[in-house]
Amino acid sequence: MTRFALTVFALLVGQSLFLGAMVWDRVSLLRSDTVVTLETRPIDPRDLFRGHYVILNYTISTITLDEIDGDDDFAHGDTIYVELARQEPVAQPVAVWREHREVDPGHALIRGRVSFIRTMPEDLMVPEDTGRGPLAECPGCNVVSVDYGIESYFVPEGEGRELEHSRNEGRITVDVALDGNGTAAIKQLRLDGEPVYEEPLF
Amino acid sequence: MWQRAYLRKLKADIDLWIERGWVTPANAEAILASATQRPTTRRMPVILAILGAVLIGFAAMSFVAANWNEISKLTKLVTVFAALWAAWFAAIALHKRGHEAYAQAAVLVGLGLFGAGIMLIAQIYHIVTDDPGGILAWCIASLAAAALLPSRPALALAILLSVIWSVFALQMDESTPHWGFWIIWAISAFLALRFAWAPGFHLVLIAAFIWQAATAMAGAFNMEDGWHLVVFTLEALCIWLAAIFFSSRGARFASTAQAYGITLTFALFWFFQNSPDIAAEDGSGFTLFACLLFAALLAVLGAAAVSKRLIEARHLAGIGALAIASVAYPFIEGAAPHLGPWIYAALFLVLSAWLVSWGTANESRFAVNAGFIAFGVEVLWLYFETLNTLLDTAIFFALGGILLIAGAFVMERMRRRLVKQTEGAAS
Repeated sequence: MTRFALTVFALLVGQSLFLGAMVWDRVSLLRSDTVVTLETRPIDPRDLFRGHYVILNYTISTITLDEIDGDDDFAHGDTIYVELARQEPVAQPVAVWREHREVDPGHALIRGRVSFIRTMPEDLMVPEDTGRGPLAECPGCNVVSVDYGIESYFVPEGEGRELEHSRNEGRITVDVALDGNGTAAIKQLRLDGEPVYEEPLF
Repeated sequence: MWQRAYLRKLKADIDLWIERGWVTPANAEAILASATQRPTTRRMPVILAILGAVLIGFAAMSFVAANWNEISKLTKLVTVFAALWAAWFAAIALHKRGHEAYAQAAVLVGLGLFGAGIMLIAQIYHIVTDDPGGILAWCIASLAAAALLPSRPALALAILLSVIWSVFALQMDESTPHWGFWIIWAISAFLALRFAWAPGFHLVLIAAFIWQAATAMAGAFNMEDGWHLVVFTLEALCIWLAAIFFSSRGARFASTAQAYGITLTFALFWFFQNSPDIAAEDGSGFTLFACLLFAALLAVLGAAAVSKRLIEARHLAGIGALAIASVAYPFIEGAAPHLGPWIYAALFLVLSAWLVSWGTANESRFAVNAGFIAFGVEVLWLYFETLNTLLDTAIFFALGGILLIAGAFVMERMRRRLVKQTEGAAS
């Protein structure tokens, strides 16, 4: 075998192994017993349809840190673990953490990345030693936006608009499989609670 | 057409060389025969094969994007894997039979199918599309193929993917420049030089400029908008001087880098006459650091180029004038905002004329043409800018003309004096 052929073979095996690892990673994630149902919510329809996929936005995509337990010192780009209470019909966030941790039975951890953080503008802050609170109320402050890697849902050509319409009416929920580290993968889409798109492993 | 022009010039030169006795008529015939000889390998089939490979790559990606519901996930995966293996084995077979160009096309198809495979898996398992990890994996595979096989088309693909990867990464975090790009860039630049591949070197330079423009537009340099102009002009001057410095080691690449340096310098310097908002007091610590870094680099390269006699001191003064005028802009703009545009317009005209002189002295046709184009464009620009105030236009052009003629007269006198001194010293 020539040097060229050996090199090509090594490259081919490397590429195949990489693609195989991608598939294996997803399949083992989708086989996970930990499944939570997440509520979606409408977002501006002008930015929704890019090609043949639908953008999914979840109620847990935006979290007000003051209204939830756990850590509160997050910065843009930080990893965030959101503790979910697995209740019907959809899971609810109960705490956020900077580090992975063991959670109570009936709870699950989903891992995300802080994509945006809205804090109080500096001109509304007062020094801590004055003992007074902020100069003004700041609705929407101390809010983090989180990406979980499950924001895209690919659909067959022509079916995206219909799905977007249902999502904007709040009728879509998503079953998400979670591995031990909190990594998420879309397992199934539900319309009015009934499965509409079930994802086979292969 | 270029070949015909070259042959015409060569024939004229050879007649002169025969006349002067430098070349014998027999040698002249051999030189002309060699020059008129057609290359044994035709480039057209190679170009068509590579374009075909690009089309097949796009077809594979469109197949993935179609998300055809009639095919199961498994069938899609098997199809992509089978096509991937087929393309790479075709590369081996074609290489073995000596069809190197077609083997390279097959390598490109294989890499395209690898990218399509990543996209397909991302699609069927709903992994977010703008994750830079997949693009990085594709880029590394292309770079590995480029280095190990070796493969120029694979290198071109790797450079393209490195830019896409960096733009995706920048979109995820616009507060910090994506420095990781430069690791891939450095390897790509090394490979382009090792392959002695001029188009690859063009791609490498263009990729670096796109990265900087994208980072600047995202505001990730944490530099005030207008200051980008000052810093980038200094950087373009550094590229120009570095190209002069390295011209003896790799003339072809140095002349390419020099052309980019000249074009960028004059394109960026032109904007100063449009009163960009750059306040001296707005310069942040990073801006100051970048300015000092490039200024120091310019000084070192300039001193080294002069000491090695790669550039004359009077021409270094032209490059120095461009650098000083760029750095001085925020201060001039602050002190005399109404005068600034006129000063920089006049400077642009004078420096364009100097570029023609520099190009003539260094036998750089590109610099001569660039100087004339810059001068012509500037004159037209000023004419249209001052169309409503024809008296100002007339005064400006008249003064400009007098200054240029006077400058040329002084320079010619200096040249004659220097020549006389040199001849006197020699005798």
